[in-house]
Amino acid sequence: MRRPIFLLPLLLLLLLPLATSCVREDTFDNTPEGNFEALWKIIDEHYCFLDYKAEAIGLDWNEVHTRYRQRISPSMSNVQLQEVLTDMLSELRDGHVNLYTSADVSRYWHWHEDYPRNWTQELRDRYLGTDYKIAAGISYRILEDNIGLIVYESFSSGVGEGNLDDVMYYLRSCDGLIVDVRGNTGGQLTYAERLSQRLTNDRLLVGYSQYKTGRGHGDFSTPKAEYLQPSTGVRWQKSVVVLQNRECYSACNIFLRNARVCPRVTTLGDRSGGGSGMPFSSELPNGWAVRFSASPSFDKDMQQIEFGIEPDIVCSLSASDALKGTDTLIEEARRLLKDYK
Amino acid sequence: MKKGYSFIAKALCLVLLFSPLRGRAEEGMRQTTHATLFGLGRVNHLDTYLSPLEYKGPQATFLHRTDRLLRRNPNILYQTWTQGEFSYAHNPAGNVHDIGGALHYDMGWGRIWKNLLLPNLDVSVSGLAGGTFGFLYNERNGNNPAQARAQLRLSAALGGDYRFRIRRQTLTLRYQLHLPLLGMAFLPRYGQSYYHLFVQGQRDHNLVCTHVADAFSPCQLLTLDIPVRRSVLTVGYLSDIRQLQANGLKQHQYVRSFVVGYTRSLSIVRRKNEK
Repeated sequence: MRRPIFLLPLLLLLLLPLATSCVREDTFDNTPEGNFEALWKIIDEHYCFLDYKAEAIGLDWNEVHTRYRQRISPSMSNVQLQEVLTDMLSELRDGHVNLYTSADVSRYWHWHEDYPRNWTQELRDRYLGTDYKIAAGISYRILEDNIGLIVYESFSSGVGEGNLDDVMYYLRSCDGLIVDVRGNTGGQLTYAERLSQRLTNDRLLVGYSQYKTGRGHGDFSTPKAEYLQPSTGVRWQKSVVVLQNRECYSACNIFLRNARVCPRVTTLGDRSGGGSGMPFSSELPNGWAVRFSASPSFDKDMQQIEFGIEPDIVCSLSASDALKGTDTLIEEARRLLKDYK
Repeated sequence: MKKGYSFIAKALCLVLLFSPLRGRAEEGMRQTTHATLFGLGRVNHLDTYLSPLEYKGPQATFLHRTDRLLRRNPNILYQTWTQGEFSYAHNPAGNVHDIGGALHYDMGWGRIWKNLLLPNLDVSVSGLAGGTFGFLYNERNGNNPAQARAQLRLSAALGGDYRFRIRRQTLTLRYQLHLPLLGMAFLPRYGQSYYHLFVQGQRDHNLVCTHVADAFSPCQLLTLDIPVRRSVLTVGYLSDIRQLQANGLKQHQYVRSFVVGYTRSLSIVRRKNEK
């Protein structure tokens, strides 16, 4: 019987890849040491600001490992472990970095806790009154001097194009517009972009973004230009003052980045909180979740905005105004808009 | 017209010869074997885009295999392999789950050698072209909650059927190995979000070429066909390994599953004067 002689080499060819190794990732034990090493490695390989923060604040991630490794012991409790890991993550000074356990959420909030808020809910309520309108995530009304006031407290609350059409149309006869995003700590980028698209008639370069392409601290993609496309709906054609404070973070920081490029827009208040890294998620062997900045955004001049954006006009809420029931920033914005008119 | 209907009726009568034996194809006879299998087993998967940890859990598999011998040359084999799967796995700590699903389809032609090396041993070698579409969703992640799976591949397949008798019953032991040799897969970059990819339109080496070394993914199926009255019960074991390493990301899916189902062998005979 004639044998197909090529079967043998073919079999060998099929078996050859058995010599290759399985595709696996380094694993760490579910011990305090293992979880510490796993967390340090996740940040080392995925966090996007290690090089920038080495320059800006002198962060040395290897030195951080050496320093915090000494605080890890095999017998430490979960509470103690979380405390050490939280301290280590706080070295990054990043509000997008969190460690989630079943008992607590570790966080770094000094970017706004160490500064005055420059707004109070009581004052905001006084200006909005009780007959203000609500369009999805936006509260708005016309003030007595014919200035429109929009309050967007969180970009986690959605707003649709139809909502924005109705808001802009309702405020169309106003002499100017105040967009108050103080206290807005972010949410969906889509809503931030949607609102800023109402403030321009032209396609504008607003910034750049990139992402990591490898484990090295400097492994990044080519920066991609980001353009703000004007909305096809009702767009605002008069002057705008955007109120910002230290709590403006993440998607709100991106809104401010976009808004300040738009013509007729003036930003007023305190520096924003920052948070320009889009966060990704990962986890430790013990099941704790970690969130970290994975891909950075820049302004139109390719400058980092991780630590916030300065306003065009610095303005703070004065205690005496607050006592009188007056919001210094809103009053200053009203004055500016009257001047622009 | 009547002649056409008559032929169809006669052909239907001649079809469905339930037999576990492939047997020797007669001239003018087309033999087709369909195996439909359902599996339950365990999956171990890793996708470093979602987590550095390996998730484990149950997986359900559906598998349909068709082997058809060509009428004009019964040594040539046409094969299709359809596989669907669904998994629900958990991380090592057991506090997070992910959900995975995929559909794999391969088809191709091969050569079969009957009674090769041993009596009653048929060996086949095939080339297959196929693809995979699927997903893996992690219930806890924020901006990287899921990973899409899309692949095209060219594979080599090795098959063997061995017939033997126990208590006057003829049983068939079947083995099949699929090994993707070359292909193309969709994959985001290391830290690229789907927002960058689909909202901002940042395409960046998201279609990667794969080969047997960086995507070593052998799929092996061992089954035993057992005649039960006029049907054939099929039981077996599926070992399905799928791996990929590209763009700085690592993926693997190891499935070990017991399968059970049925096999049908159909023979369609043409009249001698039919062409």
